[in-house]
Amino acid sequence: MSPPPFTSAGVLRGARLMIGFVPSSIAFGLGFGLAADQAGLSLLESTLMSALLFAGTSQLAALQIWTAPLPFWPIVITVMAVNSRQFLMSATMRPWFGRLPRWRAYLTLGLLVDANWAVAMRERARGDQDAGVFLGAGLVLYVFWTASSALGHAVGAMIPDPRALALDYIVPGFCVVLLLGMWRGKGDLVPWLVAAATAVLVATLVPGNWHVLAGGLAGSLVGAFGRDPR
Amino acid sequence: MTLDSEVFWVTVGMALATYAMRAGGFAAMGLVPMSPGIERWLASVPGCVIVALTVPGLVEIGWLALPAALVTLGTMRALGNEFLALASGMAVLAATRAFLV
Repeated sequence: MSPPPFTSAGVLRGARLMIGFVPSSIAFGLGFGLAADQAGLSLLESTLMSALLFAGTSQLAALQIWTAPLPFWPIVITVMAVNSRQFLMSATMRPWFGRLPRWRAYLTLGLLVDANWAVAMRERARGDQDAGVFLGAGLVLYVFWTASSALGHAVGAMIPDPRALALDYIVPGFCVVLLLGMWRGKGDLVPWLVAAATAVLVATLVPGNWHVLAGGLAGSLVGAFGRDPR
Repeated sequence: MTLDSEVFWVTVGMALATYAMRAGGFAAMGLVPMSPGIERWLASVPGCVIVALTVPGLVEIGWLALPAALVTLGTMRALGNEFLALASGMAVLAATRAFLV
């Protein structure tokens, strides 16, 4: 079979398809920038993080355990666990990108996030095989994400009393919003309760920010052996 | 504009971990097909991890986080707008802090 096309027209098509997602990407970026300022990151540090990771949920997760001295492994493993859903999405890209030149496939996959994956897979199912659609969609989100997170940090640095404005609510509040979208059905209830109970218990008993991993692992193992989430 | 070396290396570690996930599934599918058990486990990891960081985060804020979180959930369900959902929760927390504490 011949490789799928990879054209600049496809990149433009993908970029245009993302316009509807830009406002929520900007809101999320502003929120991350504010939270990063709260956690004590400099403008350069938080913008570098957004530019290198381009993975907002995991960046917020890292901020939640961002204490001095920085716990390297808890942070890195938490980021990996939050982004493990991209491992599944990446797996579904094999039939499409498997026939591209290898360097091209691996470079483009660096821009994989929920929205461009979902939209590009939909377009492919409709018959548009152009791999540029995935790239263009990812690039638009990347630019707005990085810029808005820098802007959020700059705004946050100007706020005198962050607690009075409830800025410490940004990370857990955003997570509450995310959880609403992650809920797959009643089968998630028991794993989530196990995750919450384990996390609270480990947070109070064990020093060193391992509670996110402990809760995530305990809950997901229950989920893996439990019944179908839907 | 500072760049702490500890922050830099943690960020590099986070970036490598993220890329490993983005490229890993694609690479793995070139070697072996995924088992349904592993797939179910991976599918339930992100939700549980976010729960595990959200709940202790809300506990840390205290009992005032509860009405804020409920308002966030209600706004999100009613309007479907992330920004308004977050802002309404923040407004509730800021107001309850100002008047009750």
